[in-house]
Amino acid sequence: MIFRPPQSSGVPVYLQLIEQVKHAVETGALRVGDQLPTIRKVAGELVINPNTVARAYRELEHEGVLELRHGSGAFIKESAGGRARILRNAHSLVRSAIERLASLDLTDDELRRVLESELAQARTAPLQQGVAKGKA
Amino acid sequence: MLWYKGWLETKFKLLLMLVCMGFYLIVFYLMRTAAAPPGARPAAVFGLTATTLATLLYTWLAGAGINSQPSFQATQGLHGSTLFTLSLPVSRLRLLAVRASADQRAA
Amino acid sequence: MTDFIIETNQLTKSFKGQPALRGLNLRVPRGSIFGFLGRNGAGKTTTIKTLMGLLRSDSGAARVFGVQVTDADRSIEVRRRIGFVTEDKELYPYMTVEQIIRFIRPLFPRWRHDLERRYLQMFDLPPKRKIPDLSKGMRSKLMLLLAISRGAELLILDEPTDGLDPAATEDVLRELVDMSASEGTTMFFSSHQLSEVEFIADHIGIIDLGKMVACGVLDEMKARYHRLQLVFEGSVELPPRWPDGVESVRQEGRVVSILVSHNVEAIVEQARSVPGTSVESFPVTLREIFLEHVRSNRDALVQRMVGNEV
Repeated sequence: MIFRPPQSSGVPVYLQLIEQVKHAVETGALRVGDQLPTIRKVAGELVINPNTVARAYRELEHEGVLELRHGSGAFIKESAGGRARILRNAHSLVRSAIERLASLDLTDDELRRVLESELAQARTAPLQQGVAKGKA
Repeated sequence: MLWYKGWLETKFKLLLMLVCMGFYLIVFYLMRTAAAPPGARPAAVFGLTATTLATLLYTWLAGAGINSQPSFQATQGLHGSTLFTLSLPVSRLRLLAVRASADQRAA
Repeated sequence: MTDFIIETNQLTKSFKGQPALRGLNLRVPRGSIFGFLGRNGAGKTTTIKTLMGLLRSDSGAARVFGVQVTDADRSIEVRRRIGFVTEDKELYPYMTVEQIIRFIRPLFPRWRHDLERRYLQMFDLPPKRKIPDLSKGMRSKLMLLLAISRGAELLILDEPTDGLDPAATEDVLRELVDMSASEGTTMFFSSHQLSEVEFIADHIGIIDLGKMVACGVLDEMKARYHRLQLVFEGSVELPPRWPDGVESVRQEGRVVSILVSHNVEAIVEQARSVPGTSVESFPVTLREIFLEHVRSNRDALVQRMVGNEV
């Protein structure tokens, strides 16, 4: 996997690396079992602090995307593949939804607020249904 | 090592020293022939004063090196390669001593 | 208790009545890559010279490897563990590349011949060339070779990439990063090139007008800082008081930009409570953090000078 040079955008570099790995898994550039280069190699190639790379790898391990095998290196984990497929699905669903909403001419902020309120409702709906069932 | 540096630095100072020594010898010789001190042993006196003067000369030249580093700014304090030299793990006294003896050796 | 390889306490120094350091407090953890940032004349080189024992401070204390910098007896043993690159990159004008390496080598028992060979080749330094015949960039690289090859635990570098073109800068930074990764060498380097510091440093310290105005873990600072943008639908009416953490508030037309250094949740809450606005949050670059601290420090100083208490 070839990492892209970090952007001076204010987003912490380790987060940028995490995003790159996740994106690579989603697009299929990285597959289950693929090995990522060593921390030292990545730090040297991108000319960034080794701790930054280490942190990204640790976070990815914590999220279950990477498996850090002691002595051997960092490998893409089984579950990452499955998750990636689901996420790819979600991406295409959201993409078509956005296209359909385009005619409404909403601002990004309005769109986000709509999404957040619908999400909040979706989380509480099962609860309300349960209460209704209980009462009936 | 430091001797090496001393040698490289003193190559030109060596010439200066030889000239000074030569000049001193000539002057002394002329004075000696002009007025011989009664009862004195010229060779011994010559040897003693020559050594004293030489040591003074070397020490002076050794110290002069630190200030003679080329500098093109009128800055206060340390400048030029002096900073680099002083950052090395060598005591100031040793630097001076080795320079002085390097000068002596070169001559 | 973190192990600090460099520590200063209220370091103060003036030159001919002009203050250069005004109570500087600095902590550099062992194994870190510490970017020492500041404008020209802020006091970076004065600090570095003090740490190397080349200048004596007027008051305050400084310790390297736990040893006071004024401790003459132990200063040699300390200097043996430090690789130093000076600001002016001046070396002996009567020596060649080869000669200066030969001169420096015996002073350091832990000299790394492998690194010497590696950098001679990588930096393309012609061994028989006289030092004054080298370009400024080559002299910088030579000084770096001398500093790194001595197997030091700590590198103190005063503007190591000054005068280097982008490719050479990349080479140098890559080697520093690699040294840190493979040897765990602590690096303390001063710079006013924020872009290079932003990626390779894990700790930063911003010095301005002789004082440390910001110091800490870079990632942590970038996580704390936010830029909030308030867009007003109607007239701009801001609350008179903000919670702690607001560094600056700037207005241009219907947009108000707030730089937050910490406590962002409370500030966002207050911003959201302002009627008729939308609030957006953006991450902040190191450049913004730097400029904000330097500017506000200057403003504060000016205020004090004109008699206003800040």
